[in-house]
Amino acid sequence: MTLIIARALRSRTTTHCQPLSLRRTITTFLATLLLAIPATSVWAQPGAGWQTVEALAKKEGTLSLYHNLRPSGIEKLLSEFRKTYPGIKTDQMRLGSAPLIERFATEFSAGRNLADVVITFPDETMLKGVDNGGWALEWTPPELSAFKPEINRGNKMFAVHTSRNVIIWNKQRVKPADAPKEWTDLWDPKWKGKVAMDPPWRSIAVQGLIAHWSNIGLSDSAQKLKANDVRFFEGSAGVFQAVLRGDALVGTLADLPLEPGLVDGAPIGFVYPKSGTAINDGYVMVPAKAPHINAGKLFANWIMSAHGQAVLQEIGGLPSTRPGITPPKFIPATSSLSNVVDSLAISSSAQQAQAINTWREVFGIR
Amino acid sequence: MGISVRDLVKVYGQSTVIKGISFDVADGEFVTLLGPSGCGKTTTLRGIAGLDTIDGGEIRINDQIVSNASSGVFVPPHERNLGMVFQSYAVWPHLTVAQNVAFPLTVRGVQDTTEAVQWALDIVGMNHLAARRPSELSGGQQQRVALARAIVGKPQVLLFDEPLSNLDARLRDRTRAEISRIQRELRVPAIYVTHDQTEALSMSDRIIVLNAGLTIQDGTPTQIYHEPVNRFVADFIGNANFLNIQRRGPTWTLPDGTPLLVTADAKHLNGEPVVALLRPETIRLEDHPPNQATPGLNRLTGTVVSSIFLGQHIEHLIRVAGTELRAFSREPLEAGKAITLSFHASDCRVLIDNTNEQHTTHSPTPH
Amino acid sequence: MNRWTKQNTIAQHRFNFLAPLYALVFAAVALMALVPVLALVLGSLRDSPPGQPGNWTLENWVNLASPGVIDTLITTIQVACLTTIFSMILGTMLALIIHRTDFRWPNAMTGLLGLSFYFPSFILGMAWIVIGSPGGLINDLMRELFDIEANLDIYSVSGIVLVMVLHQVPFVYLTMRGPVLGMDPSYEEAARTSGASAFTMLRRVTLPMLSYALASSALLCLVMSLEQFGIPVLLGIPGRVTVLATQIYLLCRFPPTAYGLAAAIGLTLAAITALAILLQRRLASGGQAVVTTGKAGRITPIRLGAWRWPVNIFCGLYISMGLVLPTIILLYTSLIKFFTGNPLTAAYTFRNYISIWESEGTQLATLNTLLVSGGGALVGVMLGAACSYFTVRLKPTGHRVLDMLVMLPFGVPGVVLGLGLLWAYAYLPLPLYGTMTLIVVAYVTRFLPYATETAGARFVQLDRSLEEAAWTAGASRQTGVWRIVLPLSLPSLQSGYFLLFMAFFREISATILIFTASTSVLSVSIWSYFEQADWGMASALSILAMILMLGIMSALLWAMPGARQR
Repeated sequence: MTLIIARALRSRTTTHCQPLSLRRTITTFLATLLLAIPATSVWAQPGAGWQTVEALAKKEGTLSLYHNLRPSGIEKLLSEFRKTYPGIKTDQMRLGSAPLIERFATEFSAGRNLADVVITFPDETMLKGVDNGGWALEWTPPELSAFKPEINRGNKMFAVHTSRNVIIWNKQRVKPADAPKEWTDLWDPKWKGKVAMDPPWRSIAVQGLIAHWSNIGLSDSAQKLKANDVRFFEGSAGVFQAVLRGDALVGTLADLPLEPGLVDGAPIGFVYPKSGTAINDGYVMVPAKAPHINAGKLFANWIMSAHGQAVLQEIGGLPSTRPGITPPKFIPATSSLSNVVDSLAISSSAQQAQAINTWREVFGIR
Repeated sequence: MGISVRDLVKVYGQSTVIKGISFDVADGEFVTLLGPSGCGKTTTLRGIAGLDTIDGGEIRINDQIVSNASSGVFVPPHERNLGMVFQSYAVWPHLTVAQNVAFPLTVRGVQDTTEAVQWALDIVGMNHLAARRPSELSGGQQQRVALARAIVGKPQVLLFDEPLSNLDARLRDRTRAEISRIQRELRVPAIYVTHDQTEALSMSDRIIVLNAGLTIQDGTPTQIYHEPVNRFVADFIGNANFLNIQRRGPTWTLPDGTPLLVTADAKHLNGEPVVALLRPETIRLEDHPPNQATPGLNRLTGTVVSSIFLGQHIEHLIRVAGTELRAFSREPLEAGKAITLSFHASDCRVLIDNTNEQHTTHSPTPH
Repeated sequence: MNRWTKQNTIAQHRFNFLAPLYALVFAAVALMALVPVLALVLGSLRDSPPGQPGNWTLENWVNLASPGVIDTLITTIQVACLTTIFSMILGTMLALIIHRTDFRWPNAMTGLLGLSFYFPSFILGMAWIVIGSPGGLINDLMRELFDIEANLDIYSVSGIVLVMVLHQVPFVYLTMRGPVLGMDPSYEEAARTSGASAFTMLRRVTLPMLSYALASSALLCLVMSLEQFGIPVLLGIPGRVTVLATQIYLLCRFPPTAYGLAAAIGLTLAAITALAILLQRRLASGGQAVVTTGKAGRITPIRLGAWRWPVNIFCGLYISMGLVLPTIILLYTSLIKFFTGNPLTAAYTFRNYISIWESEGTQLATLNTLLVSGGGALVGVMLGAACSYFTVRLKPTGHRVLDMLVMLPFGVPGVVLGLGLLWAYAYLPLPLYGTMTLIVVAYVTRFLPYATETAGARFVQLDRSLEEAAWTAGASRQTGVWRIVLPLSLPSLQSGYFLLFMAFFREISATILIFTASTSVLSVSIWSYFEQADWGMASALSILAMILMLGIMSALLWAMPGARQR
């Protein structure tokens, strides 16, 4: 398989491509037409019943979900949805919450809207986009009445599950007496080089955690962890796997992979420190410019139904926000934890940016 | 009718490869373009075939202009109704012999080609191998397939680009004879390019000798051989001895003053450098020459330097008149032996020494 | 009789359909090559992500001089140089061992090296994480069996270099094989008959003779190392080892994003690789004639003697580390519920495979992969053959420009190309974003030079007189191409198709930034599973993908005999 061919390369002036003006006009016209259609169907909503939404959704026939749920459960979630609403094809794209929001923002700005429904942990960008940027559709899902009012953000986003920051350790390598109990144990020198976490510039949950640390008087966390040779891994799943494998012995993460791992029998110990933890709600949102907006609404409503919430909890591993759903087997319900704070509430965007910058500087990133 | 080339010029990049050539090929005539490498013979052929464009002049086939540099007329090769045989045979490996030969007909939309293909293969004697692939054939067989392919479409012109140079000597002889025979039977004008003088002499009705993009001589094989216009042509064809000669008064002499009886022309008195051609086969070697001179016969004495046995004769190198000449005999001669060389005046022609002007067909008359 | 315009070379005539075809091909290649590059240049001058309002700025280029980027640049060069050096040494050794000595299993080794060549880079990286990470197999085994804290860490520069070397050695072997086989044996024989030992001969005759080929191969290897995406990203991020390709990825994936800076970095990386390639082409055209005479002749193999067992171990070691061990590891991880170093105590399950089998997403990804690879390779080969015919045979006006345009993406790393396409197609009104067409365009653009080279080599070899004989026999140019040139070029077209198919199947870097929910391919699926640390699914899908790849490889080689020569 040789790429070596004996030919000399000569250069000349380059050509440049012709502007396709006629084509551009036609495509813009068509694009506007296409965008107008879902817009009109949105305005058809008030007054029309849920049956209309269902009927329209079936006619649209397809749904595109952008999410950051566990990939090994997503197929099951979608197939349960399809069992309830046959005739709607589904496809999904999974990215970490930050890249997911990034992708959505890019597509939105470029006018290439492909997502019909989004489930993720929002960050500053997303909050801005949803609240003021026209990202989300404003509507009232029928299932909303079964939830506590706190989960509703301006009738645009609805919290469907909650993740909490937790400390874990490898039960096979760490003796019970040595097991960490509090956040401060993370920078205990006996774990030097064996602590795992997700870096704050990649995780909204960690940003909340850092803010919480500041609030309870644990300052200079970046320097302390750097001194302890903390290792960064990709996402909570990455941290979980790292501790499981023994790349690290203790770690902190958002507890998404915890329940499913424990169900599998993973030898992982965990603790939610008594000094409190930051939590992040995962929200569902239907984009205002979704190409199949009724299918999106149908899905969002379904995921908030009892059936949907049960499935979501099972495959997502996080406790449901809907009252009346049986809590997970291994991890405690949020209500039973002490000193719980909502990440979004405890830090402003300015504080977050500053914290990220500090961490970046300490660890020499960029 | 036939082929007509007028003032052909061809330029490649900076160099002018053909500097103005004109000739005609009559219907049924076999003309050879002969010359050393780089003389422009293949370029001329490709111009006639339409594989290259021309930069000056005009080419006509059967009175139709096929290439004209100034008016820009250019008939592409596939519309010139040619038959061409290439040096590398160019027989297509992915087709059988029969398919190769049928190709000129199938591309013209002829439906039933069996008869024509059979006819062509018969002529070259390859009918029994019609279903074979070229990879299973020898070089000579492939060449014959190429030949059959060239004639199957009854072309109006046959072109040969050094077709025999890849064959061994024995095969070359046989194929040479066949090509001649076929061309004569079909009575199609043919142009044959070669650097081999044996092919040129034996096959052609006319030979055109080219050098450095110019025509040096255009004549029958006899004329080219016996009446070369200059040293280049004489040296290129056949074996040649050259004698330096001078004009002393009314006679021609050798450098040492010995008078020489030669055949010369008026133009040889113009003061241009000249030389006398003496072909070795015209020299008789005599041990005991008669005492009297014979009219019209030159006799020189010399010494045998060396001899080489060549099978059909022995070639001797003889020192005579300050130079070394080659001559043949059937008997061996010892080195150092004194020997007499005799040759007729008519076999000793004066030529222009090493010029490359254009000449037409007429040759110098005996003087 | 027709009127034709007066011109100097035969190729500049206007032909019936070859002229519009040339125009079409030229336009297509120009668009494909220039759009992403131009988009990157534009993008590097913007201060906002593609599609969002912003200003023109030179800040991105200024930021290239920031310590973060400089550090990354130094690391990149470090990694690339180390990888090249070691790959060249090992690869050339293998070539010499297999083709110059009386090594017992040359055919088996060649076949295994061929297989290693197709082993996707990021899958290799994944497997080696399991083997060499701090909690990985080696450390576990050392601790449990020998009670040693080995502290091996694959998340480091040496780890990255190790895996990259394992990945690139087959490439070096394949590029050095031709020159090693084609060397004129008489030079070496002269050395031996003058009394040189085998080792001396290798050192003072063989290697110097191969110097041009070595330099050429080394440059290509360097380019490959600079472009590498999968391995540096997988192994580098946890260890905070960043190379330029990683940085581009990070800047586009994780907020705060900096698409403009990524574009500037991308262009810089592309400039470096393009330079290396230009150098390589000068070298390749310069030094060929000396060594390869075409008369390969019979070479007297060097007797290994006492070296036999070390050599055998060496070869065996490479194959295990680069092919066998990773495959076994992946098989193991695909069958367990969660990772443990001790196979005896692991909890085994088939659920990953079942999950994949039932997964619609994977079915879609597999379908997409087959479409892109099968259909895309076809498009690529046809385009490449057409380009090659024009640049090598016909040479109409502007063919040099076409040649340059085709080669342009050669020097652009996959991730940079993807970024360029993201910039371009997020903006342009062409509805390509989110379609399979865009993925095919990305792949064909990236690999078009491969197709042109394979087809081009053949066109160069094809004797002109075969075409000319067709013309003088009455075939028009088009008929000549259709009935003579194409059938005779079929073997190399098949070869090109095979090459492209395999390349498309394994590709990850060009699509990682532009894939969407419905246009994801297998490599992206595997990557996503890995990114979420779902090892079971990632390895199961890897195994399945490799089985699929092997199956298709065999089918293609069986159906297309021409492809076997490579």
